[in-house]
Amino acid sequence: MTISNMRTDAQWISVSRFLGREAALLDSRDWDAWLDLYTEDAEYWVPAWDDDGQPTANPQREISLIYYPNRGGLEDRVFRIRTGRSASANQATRTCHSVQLLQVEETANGRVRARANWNVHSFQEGRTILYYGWSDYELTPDGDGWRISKRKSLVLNDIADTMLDFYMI
Amino acid sequence: MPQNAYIMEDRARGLFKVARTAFVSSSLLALEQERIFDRCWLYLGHESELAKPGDFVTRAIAGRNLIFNRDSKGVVNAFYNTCTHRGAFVCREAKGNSKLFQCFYHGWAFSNEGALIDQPGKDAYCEGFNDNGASNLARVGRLENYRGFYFINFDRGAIRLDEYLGDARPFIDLVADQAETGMEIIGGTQQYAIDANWKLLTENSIDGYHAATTHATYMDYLGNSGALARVGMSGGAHALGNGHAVIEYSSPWGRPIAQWVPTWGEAAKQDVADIKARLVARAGPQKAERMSSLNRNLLIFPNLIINDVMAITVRTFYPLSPDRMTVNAWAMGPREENVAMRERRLFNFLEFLGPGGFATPDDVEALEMCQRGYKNIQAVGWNDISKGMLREKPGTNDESQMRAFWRQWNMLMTQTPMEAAAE
Repeated sequence: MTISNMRTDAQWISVSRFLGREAALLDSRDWDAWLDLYTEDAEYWVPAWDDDGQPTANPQREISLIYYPNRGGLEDRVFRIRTGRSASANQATRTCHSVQLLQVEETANGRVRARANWNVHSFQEGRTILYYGWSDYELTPDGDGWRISKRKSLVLNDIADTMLDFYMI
Repeated sequence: MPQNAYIMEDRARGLFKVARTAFVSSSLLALEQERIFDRCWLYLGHESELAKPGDFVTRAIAGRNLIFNRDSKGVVNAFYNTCTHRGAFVCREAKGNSKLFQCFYHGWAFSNEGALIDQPGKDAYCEGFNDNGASNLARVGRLENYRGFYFINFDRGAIRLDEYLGDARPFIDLVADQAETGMEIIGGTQQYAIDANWKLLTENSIDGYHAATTHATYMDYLGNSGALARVGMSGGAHALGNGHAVIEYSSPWGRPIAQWVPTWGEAAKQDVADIKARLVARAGPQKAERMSSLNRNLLIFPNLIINDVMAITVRTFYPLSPDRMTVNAWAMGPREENVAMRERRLFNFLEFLGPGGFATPDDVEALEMCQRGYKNIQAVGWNDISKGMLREKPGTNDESQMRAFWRQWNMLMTQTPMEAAAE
């Protein structure tokens, strides 16, 4: 095995471990630790589908399902859950994330771009909702690990069943 | 209390009840298809979606699959998406531009004006096979537009669209007139499904009463983030005839046309002032003030919602069964809107609206909980929609706009007008 292969293998394991940590934090509803995985300027984007069967490509010019230019938006969503006054967010949703890392690519400044497929079963008020899709992550090195500086998630179900929130994808 | 099939109404005491069977019965859903969706004007799409000759979109409307297109001569059409040969879709794409629609099964081809122009092996058909045009694409009975909003009607004998819209027209104008160069549907659709009867969403879309409770966290969130102007929520409700209704009210949130809020920053103040000044120049000070500072939740009976709130959403929905519906929601804005304001508009839209927003999921939750509650119909058979019935000027938080919907619904379903006196 070459040195370079060893390095990419180590990177693969480390990214895989990191994405596993995000999934586990969401499933255990540990919101603060989850938020902490994101940099303050992290962009979080879930595009909508257009009539032509393509996802929308520009959150500034087209409709999305969720779009935040920084982590503040995610903090607002956590705030909303914690008020206990949002009927759709205060019920205990049980979620099960299955995440599969597919690709890791190095970009500039030690950052990597990672592609992962996921499906998430959510049990909510007597029924199961399944969202599936893939996410493109931009990960920034942080000490021994990573932080998320971008996450774009494409939900492949084109009709959102009832509702969709960050912990269901 | 006087009762007319699905409604109990006592005008003297100010009581109005709707039978919960209207939300759960399969036979009533079939009757709604026949007496409401097959008879009323239904929204098909907006002219901005067909900008160029050849542009088309396909839409499912009231159980039919339709093609909405602008043909090569520039004429807008609504065709049934079915080959006149054996029935397959002649258009399988959701959106595009085409001079021709060709069925892939045997290859029959139709121009974008609907004419049958080619059949493989044409010499095997009789002379004058399509002389009467019966093998051209079938057109929906009626297609008319008001200010760029296209509607269809499956009933050829229906009254004209402008007559049907009646007093709702000036409220559509208040949206259409926000643009110098025309309003447009912004790219992307929010599609979602709700496990509730479609009429619950009609009610909810024009319901001012629920905002303070259902959307408490949205208000908290706006308050905390400084996204509020120093304006309270107040206004009135109007029945507009034919079941159409509107609530019009002031609100503390930012409006792209044109109410500034602190979160937009000092730099945006000038932008908002410019938009307002141009609006005043076009519409005059009084109408401009109304357009910019007041919100309108407009229902065009039975299922078109145009909500001009922190952004503009155009929304339709159709039942799949008594307890499930699909919703299509679009965003709308002025074509000439600058990049920064469009960004604010979209942020406002996503913040409140749609399955991933801060408000729509709470609405959906409420609707689904109502539908579940109707399982108890045998013990509790009636909904109450009496609020503000004895008030001379019903407010946004009253329910007169919903009573207007229900009276029309009941009239069409029972084919007997209710007591004529206007509320």
